[in-house]
Amino acid sequence: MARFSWFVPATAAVVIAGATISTLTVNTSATVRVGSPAPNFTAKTSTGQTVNLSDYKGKVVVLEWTNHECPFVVKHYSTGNMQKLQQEAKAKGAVWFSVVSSAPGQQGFVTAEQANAVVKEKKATPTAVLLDPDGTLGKLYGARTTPHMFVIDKAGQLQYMGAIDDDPSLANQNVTKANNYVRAALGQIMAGQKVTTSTTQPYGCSVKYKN
Amino acid sequence: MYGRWLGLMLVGLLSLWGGLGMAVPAQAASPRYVQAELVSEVRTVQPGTPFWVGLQLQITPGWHVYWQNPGDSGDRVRLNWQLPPGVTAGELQWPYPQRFPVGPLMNFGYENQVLLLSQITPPADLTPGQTLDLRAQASWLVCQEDCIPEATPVTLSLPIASAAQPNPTVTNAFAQVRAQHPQPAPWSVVYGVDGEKLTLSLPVGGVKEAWFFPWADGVITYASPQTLTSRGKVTELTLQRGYQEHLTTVEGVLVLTTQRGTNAYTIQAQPGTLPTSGGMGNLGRILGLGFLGGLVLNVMPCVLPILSLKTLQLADKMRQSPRQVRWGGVSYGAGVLVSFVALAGGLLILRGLGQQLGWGFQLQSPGMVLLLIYVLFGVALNLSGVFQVGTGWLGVGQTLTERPGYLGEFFTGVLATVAATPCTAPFMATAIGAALTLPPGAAMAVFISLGVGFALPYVALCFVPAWRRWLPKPGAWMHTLQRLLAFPLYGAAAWLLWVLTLQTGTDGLAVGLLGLVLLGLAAWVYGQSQAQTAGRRLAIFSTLLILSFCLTLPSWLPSSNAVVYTNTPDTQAASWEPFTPSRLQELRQQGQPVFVNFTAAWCVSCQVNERLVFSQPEVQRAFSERGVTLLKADWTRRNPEITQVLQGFGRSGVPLYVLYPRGNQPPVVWPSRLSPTQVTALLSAQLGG
Repeated sequence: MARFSWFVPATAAVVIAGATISTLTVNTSATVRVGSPAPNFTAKTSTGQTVNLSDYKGKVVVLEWTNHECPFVVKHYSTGNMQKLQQEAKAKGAVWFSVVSSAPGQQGFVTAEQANAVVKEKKATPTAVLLDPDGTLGKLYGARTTPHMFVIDKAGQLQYMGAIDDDPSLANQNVTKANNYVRAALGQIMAGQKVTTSTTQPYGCSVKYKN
Repeated sequence: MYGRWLGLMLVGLLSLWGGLGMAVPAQAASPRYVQAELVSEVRTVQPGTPFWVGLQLQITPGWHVYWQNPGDSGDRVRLNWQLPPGVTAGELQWPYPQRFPVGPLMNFGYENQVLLLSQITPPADLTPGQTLDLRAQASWLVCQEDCIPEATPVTLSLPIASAAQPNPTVTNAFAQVRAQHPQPAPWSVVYGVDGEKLTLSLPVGGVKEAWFFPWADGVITYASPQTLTSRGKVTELTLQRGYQEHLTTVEGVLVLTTQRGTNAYTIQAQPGTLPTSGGMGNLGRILGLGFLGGLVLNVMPCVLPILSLKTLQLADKMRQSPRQVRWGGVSYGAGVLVSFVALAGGLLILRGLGQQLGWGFQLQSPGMVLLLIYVLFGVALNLSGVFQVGTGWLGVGQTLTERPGYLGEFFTGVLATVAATPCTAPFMATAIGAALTLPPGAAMAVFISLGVGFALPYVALCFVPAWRRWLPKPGAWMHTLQRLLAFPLYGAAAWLLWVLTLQTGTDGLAVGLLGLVLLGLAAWVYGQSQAQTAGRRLAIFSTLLILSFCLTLPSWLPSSNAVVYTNTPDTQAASWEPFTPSRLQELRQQGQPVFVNFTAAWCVSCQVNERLVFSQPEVQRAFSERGVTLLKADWTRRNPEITQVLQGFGRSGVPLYVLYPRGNQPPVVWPSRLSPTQVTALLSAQLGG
């Protein structure tokens, strides 16, 4: 019986994941757009759980593409800027997923343990780190850079996609001066307003997908 | 491989610094993968004369830097100038980029080497003998698979001299990169959307390869295939749409490879389907517009006095043999055509040398304006009867325009063309704008058709005696009319003097007025000598002496552009802001509607519109009620930034009126001839309210 209790959910997860992946491959040609439903996904977290976007209907979800070795990501973590934004978002009731789409052997690739170590070292507080070594989730959302940010509202509609802020430089001292698009979008979504700046060109390192 | 590991180590070091929370003053590393250097097209700088410099980047093989839109990731090359006071630098000029696939993503940039040009305008008060020090911080992201931000200061010291000396060592490199600068497309491009497909259609045949590089993000998915289809004279390029939900104008650089080689064009595609006429049909239309423009030029105020006199003399020429009249007409036509060809040749050659010039360029140089003032004033004095031109005592009473002989007719043609240059007739602006984007041969054809249109009415009168019957009978009244017609020319000279004042200030005005007084003296001395036989040689000698002194005057003109073009008193000075591309972009990003008035002091139609339309209270009110910011792009002196914007609209001259509506809607070009009611109507149609 004990064996069964482990086997059933695992099989279910594999079947769901397989089904999702097959739908994902079909979906990759569709472009993700602000104002349209954010595509559903199932992904594995660095703590071994499986998350499904549809489980978070009713909550605001932030997706953050990350690569801890990318200098642009380093800028936002070494200054505490990203951590602060994570705390603010979670305080407002939002869910925060950091997504790693670096393929094995590429810059920023992490195993589950390494991902947890990075989170601990940076004192980051995402809801979960999603591991996407085959790039399925990244390609589904058209994630291009690290960081590349997506904000999904409570109804599951994509409301913001693009850069984290308006300063594409690597100058640490600028992060507090820059206009943070994600903070603005979160504030407006929470207040039930329309997001003023809903798409921007993301900046950063390219997502290190499998070649 | 070695490079990549080094890169990783550097990134690691950077993260370590960051991780330790140390203050890192400049996060960009000093250059390792790219060598940067500033090079200049001139060896010596002439005060007040703009010149081009280039940021030369030598890139380690296998690595690349980025174009103005880097594609899916990356960051453009940046150059932050720290210039001495009074020196300004124009925006970087980007040659068309290459595509760099990175896994499933796509980047746009350059490998091995790239030269990014920028125009430097030094102030006029530099002291020859000293040096001009240019400094800038160059920064870029250089990538193979991983990216390294690098930065370095670049400097260039150039001696200041009374004349600019070219730098022959960079001539080839500058010419090569200019050949890779996108030019405004001479045809219009349209686009259609079908689901996730975006298709650009252009009236060009024989395209072997085509790539589109958009300026804005989210218009296309960069990495998706770009599919080329050719149907005779029409080429279609099918792209995958990006995340932008609503497309307005699709703008960017289109790189086409045909049998004649690879060329890059800037395009502003509007939604729609392609008109059926092909490329040559388009040239035909431009030639037609040129011809019409030439015809209309005959009745412009700068030309009308000269031509009406000439026409009236035709009536007088009834007694000449028809053959003589005809050859006279042909000589006049030849004079017109030769002048147009010379003018067009000069313009095309200068543009070939990389100067940002357009129609009216002659009037952007104060020296040329001064010479035109002299010519107009001289002709006017002649019409007033101060002196006669021609065969001396044999032809007393002759004026310049009725000088006998075919040479005289020829020079009347030249004179008419010279006098016509300040007047831009309708149709002409479009034709010349389009001509300058065509290959030199076709461009020349457009100028010739302009000249043909300009010369035709008079030449036709010479050839068809029946038409001449409509002309009034000659008589003493013609003498009076001649005196009267001198005054529009005095007026034109006075107006150009005002232009000169705007360009060079009151010092320039003083030089101009001194020249006019001397010219008056010379004309009077010469005229006196014609009335008597004694002392003729002395009179001619002193006339020539005074005239040659007048010719040195242009070099006395202060070449400073310290004089800011101020609005005429009747325009509400506060309502117009000076135009800069960055100010326009800023306002558009704020979502504000903007109206840009491209004008010049020497452009008659612009001045007419300013006085009769834009300065009217109801027009000002119509603009302010709708929250439209008014920008004035003053082209009185040369300004490459404005020239480029004009080219973006397929124009090479002023006036041009453009309304940029709210949000991201595409700009609307207004007609060049306006009335206050039309402005209010256009505003309510395009902005509502």
